[in-house]
Amino acid sequence: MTNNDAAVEAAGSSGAGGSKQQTKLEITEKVRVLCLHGYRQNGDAFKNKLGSFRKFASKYAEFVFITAPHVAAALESAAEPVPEQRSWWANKDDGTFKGTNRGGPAFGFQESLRCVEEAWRTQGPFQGLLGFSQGACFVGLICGLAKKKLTSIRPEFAVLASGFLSGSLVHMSAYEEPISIPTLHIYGQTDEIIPKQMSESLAAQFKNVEVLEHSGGHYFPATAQQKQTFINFFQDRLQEYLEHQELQQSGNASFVDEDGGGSDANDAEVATMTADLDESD
Amino acid sequence: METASTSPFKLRHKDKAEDGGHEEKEDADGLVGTSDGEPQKKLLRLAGPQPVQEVRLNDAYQQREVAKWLQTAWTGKKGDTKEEQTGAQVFGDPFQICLMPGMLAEGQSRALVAEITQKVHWSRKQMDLYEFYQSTDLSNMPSCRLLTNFLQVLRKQVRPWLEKVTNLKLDYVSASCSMYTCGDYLLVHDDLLKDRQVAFIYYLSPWDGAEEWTEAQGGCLEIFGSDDQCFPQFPVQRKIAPKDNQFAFFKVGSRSFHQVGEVTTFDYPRLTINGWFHGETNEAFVADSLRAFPRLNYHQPDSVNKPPLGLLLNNVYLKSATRRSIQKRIEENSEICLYEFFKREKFELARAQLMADTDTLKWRRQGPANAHNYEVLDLTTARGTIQELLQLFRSDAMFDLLRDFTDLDLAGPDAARPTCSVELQRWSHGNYTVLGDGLASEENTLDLVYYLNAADGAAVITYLSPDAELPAEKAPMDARRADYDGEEEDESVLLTITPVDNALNIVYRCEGTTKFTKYVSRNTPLEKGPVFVISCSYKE
Repeated sequence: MTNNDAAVEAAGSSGAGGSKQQTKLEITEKVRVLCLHGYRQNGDAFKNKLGSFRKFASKYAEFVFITAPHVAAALESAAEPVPEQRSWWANKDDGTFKGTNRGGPAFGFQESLRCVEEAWRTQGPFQGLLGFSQGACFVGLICGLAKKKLTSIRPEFAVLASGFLSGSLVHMSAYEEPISIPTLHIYGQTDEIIPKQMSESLAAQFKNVEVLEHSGGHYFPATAQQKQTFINFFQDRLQEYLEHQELQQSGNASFVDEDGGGSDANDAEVATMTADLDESD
Repeated sequence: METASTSPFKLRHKDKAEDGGHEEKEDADGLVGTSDGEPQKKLLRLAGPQPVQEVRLNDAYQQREVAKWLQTAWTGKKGDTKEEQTGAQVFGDPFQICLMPGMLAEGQSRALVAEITQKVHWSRKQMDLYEFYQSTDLSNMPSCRLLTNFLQVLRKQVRPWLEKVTNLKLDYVSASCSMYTCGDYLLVHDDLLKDRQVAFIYYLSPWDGAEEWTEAQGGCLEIFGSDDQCFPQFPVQRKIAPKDNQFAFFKVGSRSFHQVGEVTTFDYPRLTINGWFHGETNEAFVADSLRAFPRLNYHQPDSVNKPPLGLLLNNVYLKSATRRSIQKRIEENSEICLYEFFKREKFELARAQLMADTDTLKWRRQGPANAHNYEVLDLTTARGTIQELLQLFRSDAMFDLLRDFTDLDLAGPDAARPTCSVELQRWSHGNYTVLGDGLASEENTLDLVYYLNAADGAAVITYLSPDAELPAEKAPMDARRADYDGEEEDESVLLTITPVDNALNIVYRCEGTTKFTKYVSRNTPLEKGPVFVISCSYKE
C-alpha cells in the first residue's frame, strides 16, 4: 500500500451520507481522478499501462483505478470467457461490445454506473474522471448524466482517450446538452479500432476542449511528446480546484449592487456574491 | 398482407381518403415507390418465395370468436375480463382499457426494432409535461418498409376491427414511434384533442430479460381515476408495464387520464409505436377546453401578528440603500435573488425543524395530478421558527418591505386591495407542476421563492413569457416543439430559478406569464432529503 492508498482510505467519504472521518487530509494538494479502463481490460492492467502517464502527472494529480463488474464475452464463440477481461456493458444481443455497434439497449450499463457511483462515494473525494476506449465512452456518458442530475457523480473535469459516442439508443438523452467542464481528448491518428473521427465526434459534445492527437493507434500515449500537455492540464485543474476551495471557505455571500454604487457607506458592509452560486454545471 | 378468408377484418379495397395519397406513389405494378428507389426488391416480392417478413397480425387475433369476445367485453362493461386463447384483457376501472398480448406474429417485433434502430430519426420533445423522443409520422417514412407495413395493418385490419369492437366510427389512424430513455417521462393528461377517439400503444421490447418490464425499470402506462369534476386524482390506480409485442387501446374521453411513468432503467429504451384512431370530433374535448383549473387562495395581509423584521432578516436588507438597489434591479430585470435573506441562525433553525419533524407538521399532496404533484404544509400545523417565517410573509411588515423593494402598491395610501398567497412546499422524487396549472397570472403578480435544504435538480422553476406558444393541457403530439435549456437563449424562457439555501428570489411577473417546476427524476440524488420551498405571491 502506497502513501496515496493510505491517504485515500483515511479521507473517507465525501458525500453528505455521512463520513465518520472528520479529518481533511492534505488531499487538497492534488486533484483526484477516478479511472475507467477499456474493453477487455481491468483496473490493475490499466493502471500498469498508465505508469508513465501517472508519473508525469504525479505532482498535481492522483489516480484511482476500478474494475468493471462484467466479464467480457469470449473472443471466440466456443471459448471460455477470461475473468480478467472486463466490460462496462454490452451493446449487442449476443453480449458482445463494439464501439461501432448501433442498437437499442446497453446491457449491464446500470450495474456499472452503480459501481462507479459507489467508488466515487467511498473512495473519494474525486474531482475528475479519466477513461480509455469504452471507458472514455463511459466517461462521456457520465458527464451527460451528471448534467441531467441523474447520477451522484459530479465530475469537474475529464480526460477521454480513444473515446467515442455510444451507438445505443438508450444513451441518446445523455448527449442532449453540451458539457462545459474542461476536458482533454486524446486519440491516435492511425487508430483502426476507434477511428479518430469517432473521437472527434465525442469531443464535439463538449464546449471546453483540449485535443491531444498522437501519431499512433489505439492506446494511451505517454511519451515525452505528451508530457507537457498532461502536466499543464492537471496543473490547471489543480489550480481551479484550490481557488474553488478558497471561495467556499471565505464566508457567506450577501447581495451587492452590481453597479458598484460606492457612494453609500453601507456598501462597504456588503460582501460580494460568490460566482459559484450561479454555476449550473 | 395475408389475411385469412374467414377473417372478420378483410382488406377493404375501397379505402378511405387517407390512403389516396399513398396510392399516388404506386407505379404501374401496384408497388409502393420509395424515394430511396429500390426497384429490385419490389420485383422480388411479386415473384416466388418472399425472403423478407411482412408485418402481419397474429393468427389468433384473426379469429371471429376473439373479436366477438372483445366486443362483448368492451360494450358490456362487466369489469375486468380475460380471453383464454389470446390472453387479451379488458380492464374496467378507472376507465376502460384493453390489452392484447402477442399482437404480431413471432419475431416481428424484433424485426421492427432492427429497422427502427437503423433508420428512424428521432427528435427530442421537451416541455413541462414531457421529455422523450418522437419520430415523424409513420405515413412519412418511405424508407422504413416494416413500419410502413405496420401502418397498413393498422389502417386496413385494425381500424375496421376496432370499429366493430368499440362501435365507434374510426376514419383514419395517425401513428409515430416514441422512445423514452432513462429520466424520460410523460406526465398526466387525457389525450383529448379534436377528433381523437381511440388511443393505442404497441410495445416493442424484444430483448432477452426485458420482454416484460419490472416495476424497478419504470416506464409503465399509469392510469388515473378522477373526481366529480373530472380532475385526475392520486394515487395511480393501475400500472401497465411495457411488454413486448403487446397492443393496448382505450377510448379517449374526459376521464382517460394517464401518464408514462419515468423510465428509471439505464439499460433499456422504452420503445413504442403509438397514436390514435380518429373519427368524429370528440364531444368530451369541447367540454374539456372550457374547464378551469383550481387556483391559489389569496388573503389580505395579517395585521395581528407583528414579526420583528430586525430579528429575522439580515440587517443589510433593512437598509435604505439596499432597498434602492433592489428596486433598481427589479425595475431593470423584473427579478432579483437576495442571498442570505434571513439571519443564518434563523435559517438553520427552520431547516432543522423541517428535517426533524415527523408528527406535528402535516403535509398533504397538492393536486390535481395533471397540474401538480408536490406536498404542501397544512399551515394550521405550523409552529416555532417555521410559523414565524410563514407569519412574516403574510404580515403587514412584509407588504411594506415589498412595497419598498419593488415600488408596487402593496401598502400605503395607493394600495387598493393587496393580497397574498403563501405555501410551504416539500419537493422530492416524482414531484412537478405543469403549465396549465392555473398559475398563469391574469394580472401583475410578485412571486417570492425561498429555499430550505436546497439541492440540485429539485424544485427548479422556469418562467415563460406570455408569447410562448404552448398549448397548456394539450397532449404532446400536437404540441409545438419547444426546447428548454436554462443556459441557452430561448425566446420563451424568461428565467430559471435553482435552489440555493436561504436565498429569496423575487420575480415580478406581468400578465400572462406562466411558470412550471420541473419534474424531479427518481434518479436525481437527494442525499440531504427533500427540498423545501416557501412560495408566495402578492397582488396589488
